[in-house]
Amino acid sequence: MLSDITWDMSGRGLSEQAFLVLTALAEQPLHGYAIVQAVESLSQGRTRLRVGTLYGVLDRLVADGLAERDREEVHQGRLRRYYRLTDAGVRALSAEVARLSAHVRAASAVLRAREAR
Amino acid sequence: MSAPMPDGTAADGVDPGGSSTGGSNLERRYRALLRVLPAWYRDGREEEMVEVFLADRVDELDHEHGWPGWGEAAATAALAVRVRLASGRPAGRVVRGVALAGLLGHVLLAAESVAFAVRFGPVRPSVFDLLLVVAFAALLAGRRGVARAAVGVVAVVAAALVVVSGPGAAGWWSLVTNTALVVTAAAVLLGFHREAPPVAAARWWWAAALGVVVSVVWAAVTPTLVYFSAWLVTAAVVAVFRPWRAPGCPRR
Repeated sequence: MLSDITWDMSGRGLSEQAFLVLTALAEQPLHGYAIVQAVESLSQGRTRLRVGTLYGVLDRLVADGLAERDREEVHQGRLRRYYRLTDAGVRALSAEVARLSAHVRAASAVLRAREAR
Repeated sequence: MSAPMPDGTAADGVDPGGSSTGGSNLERRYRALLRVLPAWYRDGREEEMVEVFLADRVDELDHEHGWPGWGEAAATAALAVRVRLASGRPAGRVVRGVALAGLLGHVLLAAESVAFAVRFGPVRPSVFDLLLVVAFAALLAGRRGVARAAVGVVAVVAAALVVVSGPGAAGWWSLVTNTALVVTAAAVLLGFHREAPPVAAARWWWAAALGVVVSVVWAAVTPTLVYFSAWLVTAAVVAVFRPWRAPGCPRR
């Protein structure tokens, strides 16, 4: 069962941070710092995850079965743990993309109608 | 030795190059900050978190004189609270049990007040009563934002009442009754975060219905109000369910 925190307060979709982390992991397994960089890039610099925030999101995604541990490497004497998307994570991300796309289409239609008046 | 994380991970096999005892001043300061996290969590995550934190802090002067920063400190503190109060953690079960039991106690006191006023005198409407009933119902209905807003108002007003009541008997009375409000509100705000498990609403609705009936009968036949309902109900719930031990606490 998915926990509430992975989803936004209304329960209608993924939280923005969870969405961005899942999107970052969709391309390939990433370690923590690479996730931070990918999220910053995906959000065009608007979202810079703190370490505490990153691991809060990762804990929840793992607990919900949307992401899982991939492998560990030691980089310059320090641990790098990689995470990857699960099949459930792919489905959740796809569902969220479809939901957001529907909202974008609806908003675009409203704006076009407004401009046509 | 590394303790396992909830997902089965562990930080075994790592040569912590900047080990937990070495590294720069910045690393030591960040490791000190991480001590707000539970030890079992640090065992599985500390090296990984340090690696991420230091990854883009490459300036030597920064390593000598830099600090983690307020934003990182706040995020780490928030993580510490979430980890401790997460679903399945004993502290989380206790806090959510105290929150619901405290709200239930105040709902019963509200019912007593109304019944007492109808039976013995004019009604004294209390904004606290209304807000706490709303908060209780909102929690059971899954509207946590509403519940948190309601108890937030209650906590602020109750704390202000304690401050302005001053010393003496009135002050002590205000402290005892309003402290129950503040404790209940704090438990709701801390325990019912976004990842808290859903509430076993049916069980609490039944408890409230039964309690309201008993409270109304009590207030109608005895000219007394049980001002310590919140304390009594909370103590009873905690004593009966012992949420720190069993996952069967009335929380889901």
